Amino acid sequence: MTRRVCIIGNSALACIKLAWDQASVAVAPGTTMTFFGSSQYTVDCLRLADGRLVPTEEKVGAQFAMTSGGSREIELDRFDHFIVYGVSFEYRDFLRIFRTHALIEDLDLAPDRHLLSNACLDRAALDLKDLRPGFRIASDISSATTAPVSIVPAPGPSEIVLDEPQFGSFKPLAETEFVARIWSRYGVLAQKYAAERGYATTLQSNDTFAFPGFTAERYSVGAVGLPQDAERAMAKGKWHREARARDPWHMNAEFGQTVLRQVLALL
Amino acid sequence: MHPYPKDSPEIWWSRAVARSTPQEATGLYSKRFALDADSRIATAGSCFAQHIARYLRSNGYNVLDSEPAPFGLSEKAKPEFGYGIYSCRYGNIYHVRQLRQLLEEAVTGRPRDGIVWERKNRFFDALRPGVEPDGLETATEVLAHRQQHLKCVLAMFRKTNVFVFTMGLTEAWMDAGTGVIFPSFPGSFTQFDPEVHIFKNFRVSEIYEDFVAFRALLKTINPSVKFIVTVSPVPLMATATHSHVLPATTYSKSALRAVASQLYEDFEDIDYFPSYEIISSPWSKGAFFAPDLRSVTDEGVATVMRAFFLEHRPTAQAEELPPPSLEEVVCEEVLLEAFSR
Repeated sequence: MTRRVCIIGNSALACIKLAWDQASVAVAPGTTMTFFGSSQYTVDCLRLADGRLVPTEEKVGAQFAMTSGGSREIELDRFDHFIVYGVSFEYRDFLRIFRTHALIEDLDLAPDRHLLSNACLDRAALDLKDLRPGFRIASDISSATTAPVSIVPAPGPSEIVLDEPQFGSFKPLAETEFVARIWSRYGVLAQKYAAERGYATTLQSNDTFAFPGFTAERYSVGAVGLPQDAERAMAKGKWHREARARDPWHMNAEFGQTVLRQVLALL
Repeated sequence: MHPYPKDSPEIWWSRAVARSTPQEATGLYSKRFALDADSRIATAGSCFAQHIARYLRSNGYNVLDSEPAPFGLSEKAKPEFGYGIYSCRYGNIYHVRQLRQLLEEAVTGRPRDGIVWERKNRFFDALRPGVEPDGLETATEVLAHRQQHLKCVLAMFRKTNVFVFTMGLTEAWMDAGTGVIFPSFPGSFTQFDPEVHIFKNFRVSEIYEDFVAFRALLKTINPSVKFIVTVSPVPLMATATHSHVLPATTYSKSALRAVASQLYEDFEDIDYFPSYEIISSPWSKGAFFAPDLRSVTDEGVATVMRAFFLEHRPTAQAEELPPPSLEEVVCEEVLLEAFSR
């Protein structure tokens, strides 16, 4: 029996599509996978209409056509399982809280941070979840179809992000319990938010980390994202773009394979 | 020069008030010193001061935020946790004694004794109980948070060029043992103990002395700092003087207003901005009060700030933000009313 999987997300899904294009039959015979990707969080413009998720922005429709092989909108009854990828409660957002703040138990490790209460952290995390469109899109899908929906976050940034000024404050703390706690707290909340709404989820595999929450540098080599100008890219016969030399936010096909295995395990 | 020159319309009640409206006020306020985009402004005070801080920000002024919110906390949630209201998370500072005590505590760097309140096994900072709506898990955590708060307060006081303070109340609750002034009625948050929590209604001389002492201490760490003082027009929610709330309010506001003028006369670096007069005088015919005759309407606040910005022009960085709304103001005082039910 054929399983028809739909993956909706941002440029972080490019590495999964690349891995899928290279090895789909070998990895998952009888499974089709259709990708609907658009830049950053522009999938926020998706609106539910007559059993379809329709982008209200032309540019998003064009990027969908580029990544899906021609479809500018998502006909929900064409799929048996939906994966909302990289646009929900994201580690890259959660980590930013701790650039400047820490909980009381962290203070011995990160004494330069502002103190944050557990209640305030919970609220900030909840607000970050609601800031991104993923859970709303998942809810729209669930309201129109009985197909299961999974929420899968994008990877944590590559360890090379520590060389950027914005994340430099983590550099001396990278191998300490501080970053391990951040990742652990994130995991608890990500699982909770998905479970509360009846969605399956899977977190980044520990063996892809250099240290908790920071992806090993080797997955950044040959990283891929999505071209902003979909029409131009398609005219050149391309659906993806090679990321800039040191891109901490996108991953390569090798990383895509690990996510693919995790996603297939959810089905 | 004649003491009552005919060509100065602002000195004549008939012309400046009776035949005018607050919305078209000119000459009501003449700044003593200029604010510019580089001025590092810090704000504190009673609920009404929240409007001033937000209007200053939305008009391009550099209002310090020495205790910033964590990334991701929504604009709605920030004030619930005391973020973004003033230049630090101290909540409302209704009394000048409270302000003085905060600076003294910040300079020592150590939290005062007896400032942790417990309610239903949750722990609150008695000097800013509203900044953690559900309290913290332990008293130790409260003290750690306060210690770090004091560092932020001290940094703010060292950094500011202009400190804007809105005086709110004379009636206060004080710890009998330590003399510490609480921002609100202790019974709203914890078990009220009349042996420990004593009522204090400050006199003009005490308020004046407190501000002078505050100013002198601040000058030791920030010699060039200047001040803008205002008086909140918001009447008392209730009085503990056992008299009618109206004369109690009149005393409170009159005392604060008198102190403001004394400070203005005695110190070149203190300016007074007459927000109180715009809202509370016969000029406005009560139109700037909401139906509860206590809350100031959005139009009232806008009129006050218009008068302010006639003298302190919005800077080039002014943002097109909607004006702050009355509903967004955080007041611990409302807890007093809840307590009375």
